[in-house]
Amino acid sequence: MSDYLQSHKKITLAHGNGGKLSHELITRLFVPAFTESAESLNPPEANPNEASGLQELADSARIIPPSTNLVFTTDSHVVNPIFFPGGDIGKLAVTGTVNDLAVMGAKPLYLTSGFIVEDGFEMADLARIIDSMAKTARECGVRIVAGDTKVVEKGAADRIFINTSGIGVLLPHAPAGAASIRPGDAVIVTGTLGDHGIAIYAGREGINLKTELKSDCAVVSPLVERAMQTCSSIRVMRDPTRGGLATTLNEFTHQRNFGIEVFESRLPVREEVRGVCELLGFDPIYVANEGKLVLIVPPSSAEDVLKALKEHPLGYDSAIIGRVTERAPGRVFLRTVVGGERILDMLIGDMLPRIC
Amino acid sequence: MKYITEFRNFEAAQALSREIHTVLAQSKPSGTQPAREIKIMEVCGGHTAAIHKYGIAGLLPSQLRLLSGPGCPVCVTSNSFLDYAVALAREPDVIIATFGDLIRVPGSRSSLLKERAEGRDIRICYSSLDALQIAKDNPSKRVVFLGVGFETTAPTIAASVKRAREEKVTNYLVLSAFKTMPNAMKALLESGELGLDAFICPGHVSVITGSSIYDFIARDYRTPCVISGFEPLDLLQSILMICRQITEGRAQVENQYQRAAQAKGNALAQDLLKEIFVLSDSDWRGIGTIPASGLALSPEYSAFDAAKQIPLKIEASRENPGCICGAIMRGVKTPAECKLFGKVCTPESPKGSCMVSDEGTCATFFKYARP
Amino acid sequence: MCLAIPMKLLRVDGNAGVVEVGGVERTADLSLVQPAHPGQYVVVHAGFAISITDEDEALKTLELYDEMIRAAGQAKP
Repeated sequence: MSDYLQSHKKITLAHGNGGKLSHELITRLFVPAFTESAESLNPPEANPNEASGLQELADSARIIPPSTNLVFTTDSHVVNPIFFPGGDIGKLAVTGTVNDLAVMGAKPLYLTSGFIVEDGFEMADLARIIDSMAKTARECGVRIVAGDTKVVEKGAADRIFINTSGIGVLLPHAPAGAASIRPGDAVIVTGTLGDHGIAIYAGREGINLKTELKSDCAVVSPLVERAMQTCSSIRVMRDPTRGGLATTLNEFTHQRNFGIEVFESRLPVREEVRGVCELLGFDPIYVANEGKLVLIVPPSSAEDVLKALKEHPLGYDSAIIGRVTERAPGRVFLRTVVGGERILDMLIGDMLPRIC
Repeated sequence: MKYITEFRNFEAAQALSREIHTVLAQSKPSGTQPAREIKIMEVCGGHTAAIHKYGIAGLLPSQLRLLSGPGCPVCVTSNSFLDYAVALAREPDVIIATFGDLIRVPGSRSSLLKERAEGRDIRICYSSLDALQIAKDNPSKRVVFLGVGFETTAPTIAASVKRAREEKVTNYLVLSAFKTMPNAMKALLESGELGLDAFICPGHVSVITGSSIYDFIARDYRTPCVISGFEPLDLLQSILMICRQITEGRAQVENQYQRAAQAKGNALAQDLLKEIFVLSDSDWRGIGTIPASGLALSPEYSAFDAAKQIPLKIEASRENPGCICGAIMRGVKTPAECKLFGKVCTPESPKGSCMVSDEGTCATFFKYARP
Repeated sequence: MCLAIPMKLLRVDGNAGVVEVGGVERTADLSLVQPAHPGQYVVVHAGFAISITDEDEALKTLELYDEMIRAAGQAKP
């Protein structure tokens, strides 16, 4: 790869037009990294009749999953900055989609990735992102089996956009879904809130905050597996990304006949995240996470699930933070630290720092 | 976090709440006469936000009614200021630097958010010093800082202007819409619409100005004033102090926020304000012109005044005819009484300033109302 | 209005200070509160320190709250 980078410094429109330069880009950068990553996994259950798109330079792959109970998801990634403390857009593209599969109760197996790159993008940055994706895929146990690359004019994309689609097989005792939620159910989060959003925000121009905070970008499959091993009737799981925990909880209550009460004093939040939020006027409950789960479980399983989660490093700060109520159907509300009450709506617009 | 977490203590909040109930119950008229409603107004967006964020109203007796006044600088910034800012953003060599609060506020026809989506150079800053740095980094452009806020914020921008002069930065400009509290509070009292029983006075404004600016309220209008901090215990304690004044028949200016605000205020900041700004009449959105309630750059600093250095002709400003933000900010109407509220005017598509700002009464009502 | 929070002053270099809350650091301009010393807490608004927190007053207020908690505890039926 490195001699390719020596002679090709920047992406140009020609790299996306399907001709010789396109082919070279794919065979010199994408294929080696993703093939090596996939082969190092060598899953024993992989069907030998499968064919990865990478070998045939095609944007399609023949896959033969071990079961037909499938989960299929897609996600597009446009994060800015593309390299941030604790991760990058490549890592996020893999973990984001793998997490979407995992929270449905599926074992993630295959990913595809589509790239839209702006003319003039640094080739070395692209190589770094590809490496990160290959590494993360290997760590998650998924294979990137097909992909596509387009190059657009300057200004038509903000440096690089990545779409990943993923397929997984449903495991036994997968969550039944939001319709199975009942008053009395417990709401659990698997760790501290707001790490990702604040880590990204702190370094922005005009904000200038110095902190050790890193994104929590991670794959949550180990936590999902533990939860499902402990409880066979999990109602629902989700990774609270954009819009934070509050938005995700609203997705559960939307147009349903139950409400969710959250106890502010039980929310796990890092001191640094608290500090930045106080300074800029943000609320951690609305800040994005990239390595956390929220689960709703029957009350009888809550303590056991909590214990199982806390035994894993990713779930060390897990906590029961709320409960499902008959009261206030369709709404999420917060019992504040001083004993008051307020409604938690979905996040509207972007979080903006304020002086007022 | 020191001086923050201690002032959010649950037991203390419960104790303060209980004491407020006790003080008011002890002063109730005998027999079956209901106690009269006590109207307390805060004039600070930070107080509006804190009251709702912590659910303070739920800890108070129903006899107390908390009103939100025109204390959100974004809400009271005139439409014409936004329109001027939009026009400046469209000038090819201008970079607009602004606090995040202004980005989504609708002007007559556009907003800074919309302009930014159209490709104009609009940057959010936490501090005016960051904007000054942008000016230094972009010598071929003119950086205009949108100066909104009250007496707390104005000295910080004043410092940035003085720094610009000292460092001979010639491309840093300020478009001022700064406002001052006392005459606005006087206008509210004079209007007689409200029958206010007390004011919760803005804690951080008072850090700068000191407490004497409120003396006329206690003296001439026999209305109790308590300067309050922003944590839930600060607000509860201030409300308790107000209830004691009312039940004891006193009308004084008291300071609950003693750990941060002193009676004489911040002399350095006050001197800086006098040096850089002059008091001027100011247009309060929804209220109208209030004399001597605004700050304009003094003639000596006109080289930094965007209004003088980049004069632009703009179309006449106009407000949405159904918007009653003005009445809401004066505390005479509630969001529920607005025809646009929740239907046409929502946080996603705000029609008036009360809905845009996080501290706007309508936005707060929309987001935080009790279930 | 006026979002401002108490932060610990770590270092002073003329008018420039480094302040901290929850382990997060930022620069703050100290020209409105001179003189200020490391170890003090300052109220920071829009990148400027506008006041030095009076520790004695803070403790007095907190003591007042403690008294009320004690009194409320004794008053329980």
